[in-house]
Amino acid sequence: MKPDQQTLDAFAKDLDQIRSDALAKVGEADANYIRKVIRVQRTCEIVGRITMVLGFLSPVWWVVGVLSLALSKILDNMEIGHNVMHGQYDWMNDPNIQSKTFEWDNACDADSWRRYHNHEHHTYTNIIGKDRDFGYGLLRLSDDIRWKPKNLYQFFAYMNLSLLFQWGVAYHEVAAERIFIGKRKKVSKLPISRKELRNAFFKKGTRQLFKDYVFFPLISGPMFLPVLLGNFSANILRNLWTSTIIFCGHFTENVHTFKMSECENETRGQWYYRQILGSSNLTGPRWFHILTGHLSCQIEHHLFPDVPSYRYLDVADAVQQVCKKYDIPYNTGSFFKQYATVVKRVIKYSFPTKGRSLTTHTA
Amino acid sequence: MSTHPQTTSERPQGTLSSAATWLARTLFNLPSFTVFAEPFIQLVKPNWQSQGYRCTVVGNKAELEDVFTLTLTAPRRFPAFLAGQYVDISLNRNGVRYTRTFSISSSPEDLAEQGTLELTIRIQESGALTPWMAKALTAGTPIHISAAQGQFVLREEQNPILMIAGGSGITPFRSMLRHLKHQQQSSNRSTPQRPITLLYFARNFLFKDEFRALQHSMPNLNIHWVCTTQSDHLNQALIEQVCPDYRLRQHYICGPHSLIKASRDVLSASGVAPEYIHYEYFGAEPLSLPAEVLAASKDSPIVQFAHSHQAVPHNPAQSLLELAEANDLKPLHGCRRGVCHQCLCKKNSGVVYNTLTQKYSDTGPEEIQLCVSVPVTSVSIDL
Repeated sequence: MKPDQQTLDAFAKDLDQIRSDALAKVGEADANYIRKVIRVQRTCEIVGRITMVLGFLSPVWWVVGVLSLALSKILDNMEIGHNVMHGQYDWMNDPNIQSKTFEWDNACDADSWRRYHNHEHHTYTNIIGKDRDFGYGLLRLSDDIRWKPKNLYQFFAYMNLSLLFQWGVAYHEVAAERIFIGKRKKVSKLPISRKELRNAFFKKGTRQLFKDYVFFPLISGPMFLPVLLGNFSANILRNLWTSTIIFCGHFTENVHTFKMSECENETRGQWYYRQILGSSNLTGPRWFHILTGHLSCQIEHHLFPDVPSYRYLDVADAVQQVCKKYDIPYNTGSFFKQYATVVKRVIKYSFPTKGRSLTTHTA
Repeated sequence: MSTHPQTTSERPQGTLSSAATWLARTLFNLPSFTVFAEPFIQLVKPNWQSQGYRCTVVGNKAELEDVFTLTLTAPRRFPAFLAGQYVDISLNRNGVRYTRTFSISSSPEDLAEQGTLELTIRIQESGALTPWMAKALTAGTPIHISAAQGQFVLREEQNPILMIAGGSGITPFRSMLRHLKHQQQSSNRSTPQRPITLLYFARNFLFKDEFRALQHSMPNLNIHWVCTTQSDHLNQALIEQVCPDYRLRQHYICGPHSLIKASRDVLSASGVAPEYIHYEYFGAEPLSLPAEVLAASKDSPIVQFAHSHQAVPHNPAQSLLELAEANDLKPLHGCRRGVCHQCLCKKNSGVVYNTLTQKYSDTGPEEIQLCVSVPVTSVSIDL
């Protein structure tokens, strides 16, 4: 049952307090932290690319190289790229750790990501028809979406999406604008032309393919093929990891969806409420949180997308208490428990729902 | 913090360095390999930055109660500058990089001979940085500066000069006078030197002894000290009195907005051509706005859109994004509620209030979210 407006106003006030308490602590420690993560990521990348070439000594080196490079890509995309591009570290005023200019080791052009992810996904979280992150236009994950026969195979579509996740992310805005296929809308809200969008998509994709599958294999000489395969494996590992973590953030069993009509003119309290119902957390050790880019605190991330990720774990306790106080559900659990419900959800909505009603989940 | 067109000339890149730039972009999605190395170098040299020139503080001397002079050793590759120019310094404090602009108060010859630069800095009472700088920047502290920039430099022509300085606006003139003295000493003694008059308004005078000594060694230099706690401010009678031939001179003005505006008005009313009036200001450009704009603004801050050369009074009901849109600008934006950071835009100077974080900004250049920011003081926005 949805809490009344008065409750939500008080709830918003408490959350605003948590936010300003967290921001008041932000300073040197956060700056040192993100620089340290950047150092670790760059070290992993160099170590990974070198040890992979040493694979001719023993395959163990190759495996170490692949894991190290995958770790570099995961840190770059999750804890560094995603958080920096949300503006979490803009207060540092460091031109190299800046949301506006940051570019990541991912096929997706960072400008495109900033447009659709920061705006569309974070403003219209889980609103069916507005937030294309909900199922990515591929998967049916709620009754609000009409069943089609292709949904019968959606578990395989999901597996493919996971394996190729960075390309899915890169293609997201291109798909929404029907750049290659589909019927285009007459007016585009894109701040750039469709041609520029297409060119940026190709430019970034080509650059990523060139370095991993042409440049580094070529300079490895006789190790061309092992290095190419190693880079491919590192990319696949990163894709699987990011996709899995992100699915755990929004598609677990009890995550709610919304209709646009429910969210028009919503107050800050209603917005906070929707962010909490639309997200789910993961529990785990510290290293696990870092590898997820603190998306294990998806709820806190959606409440405060520009509070430095370094603060999310602290904030999470306070948020959970506030939710308890107002009797608002707070969805958290271990990785395996949460992921099992994701798989269940993907399979469940593969089939048409019996006695399907057109209403959304009670929100 | 002048917004004059900047004179820093980007060095044309050689084939090798553009290949390196391309490679850094392709392999690491970074603007250069130096940026890749930056966080590692910072382990050894805290606050090291890939941009600019790393200097070391060698002296921090109190000039007055609220003014101090920093002496820095500049690295050899620091490019030569012209007397009157300024540098941006950037400092890290509590994880935040602050940028501030200060005129160089030493001469190019000081740099050539001793390898040092001097910056004379006024402590802003409520400033985030200057009170701290006066205490924290002790000998040995590393500090990053930009190349010297600015158009407020002595013109080639050998006309007589009138300098008008207000308060800490004296700093570029100290650089110019030291430079002129050096030039005179090294030139032929028999050539007559052009007259130089300095009209110096202040409550407390900086460089008193040094200027008196300069007057001794430079017979063509005339300094008029006007103590603003006792006598009148600038007007035509005063200029006539200290410098009767001012209509024939090159004019250099540096100081508070009010002094620049008053001097400009007096000089142009006496028929001095604008190309003979040079001025340097700090903060947003001192505009002589049309009367209707001023009337409409009442006391509200003026927002300057630097790129489109517009200055408009702020409407308290609007965010900077709405104000920009109301003036036919189309800044990139997304959610309009401070979530998505699409509308980040560079603020060159001035203080803004972020309605979402409920925080006041710094006065220096930084990126702000237009959709949730309102101006507190007059601001200059890079739009």
